Amino acid sequence: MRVKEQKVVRMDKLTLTVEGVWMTTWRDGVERGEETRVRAIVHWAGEKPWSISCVMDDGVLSPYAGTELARQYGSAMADRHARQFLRWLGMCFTDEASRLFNSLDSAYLFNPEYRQKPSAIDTCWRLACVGVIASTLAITFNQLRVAVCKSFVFDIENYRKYVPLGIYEIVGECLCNFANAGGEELDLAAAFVELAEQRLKEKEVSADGVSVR
Amino acid sequence: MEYPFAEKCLKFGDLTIVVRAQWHRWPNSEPPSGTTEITVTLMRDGIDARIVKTAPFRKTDWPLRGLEHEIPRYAKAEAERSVNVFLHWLGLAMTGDMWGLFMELDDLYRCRPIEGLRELTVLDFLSGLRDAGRIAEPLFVTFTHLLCAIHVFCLQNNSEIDATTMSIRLGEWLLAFAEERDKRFADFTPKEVNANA
Repeated sequence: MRVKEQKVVRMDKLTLTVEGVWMTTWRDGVERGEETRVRAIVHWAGEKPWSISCVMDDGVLSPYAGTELARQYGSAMADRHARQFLRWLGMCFTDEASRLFNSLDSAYLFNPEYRQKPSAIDTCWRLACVGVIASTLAITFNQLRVAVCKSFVFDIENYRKYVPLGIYEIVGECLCNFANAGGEELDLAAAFVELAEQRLKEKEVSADGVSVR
Repeated sequence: MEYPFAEKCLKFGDLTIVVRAQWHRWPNSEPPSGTTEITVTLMRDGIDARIVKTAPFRKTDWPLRGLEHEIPRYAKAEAERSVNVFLHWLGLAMTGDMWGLFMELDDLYRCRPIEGLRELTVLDFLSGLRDAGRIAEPLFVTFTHLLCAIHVFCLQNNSEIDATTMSIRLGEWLLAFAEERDKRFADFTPKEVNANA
């Protein structure tokens, strides 16, 4: 069984599709385990799309296997991992390395610090897995960052207007909001303008001396 | 141009492990830059198939600026160092010193941001974590096979030493083997048990 959930992020000429795929794995003709992958499909307008993927989770077959709930469960897993990937992408933009490290560690437990007797097998395996996720994140982050740099945001007037707010921080926040809200498509340019304008208004109001909550 | 490689081989029971490293120069790089690559080959007695895992160990750029003539010597030393470091890490994994291993990986790849002390950009952090993850894979595979070889050995020889103790002992031998610069081969199969078998 294979279930797919897609999240699309559009920014200028880039369409980034983050696809969570949950599937059962087979060995010797028997359904034995399950795996959730995240695939980031990078499509620049006028160019051939390409993709990069990583395994986010794999393990033994869920108790729902073979039942009607399996599809629902698979869909929830695919959605969860696609959203998690977007959230991490958001953290990349806000440049919070420590927060990203902690978040990756709580998902994959690769840091042996504060853990009682961490096993070598687990630590090495988890580190190897998280390394592939880090690589996928870095590549996707770079592509999206290029799209932001090429967009209207970096036109001289907009740049001057938005740079005091922290352009990448706002992009990161938009991505995190999108991931938390669980939508299917994000017009990043529109979301950016909306959030940035809101921030500008808040700034103006607070500059007038009126407290803002 | 091919630069000299370094190689160390170890044997435990029916498992033979060859750790090989070589420095490769990136084409047309100026100043001379390159990557040291580690290749681990796992072989079992009586089985033709072998497992080969390769991972980039370290990238080098600035130290070779203006030192073109020193590259072969550097490549050899770097390859030797990489093999020994890999064996040292394997030793740490076998002895169960995960914190030590993680710290050493972090020293080389800088994959752990520390607030106030080591502020990394997200891209630096992610690329460090990617590199640490890449080397962790051959480490994991080698470690798993060594562990299997230990269990097989204990079962086949009715060994009085349990697998965990043997794995720690093997880890200590590996740490010592990594320190010995001139020794290229070591057979870690416990001899006294061998004689009893």
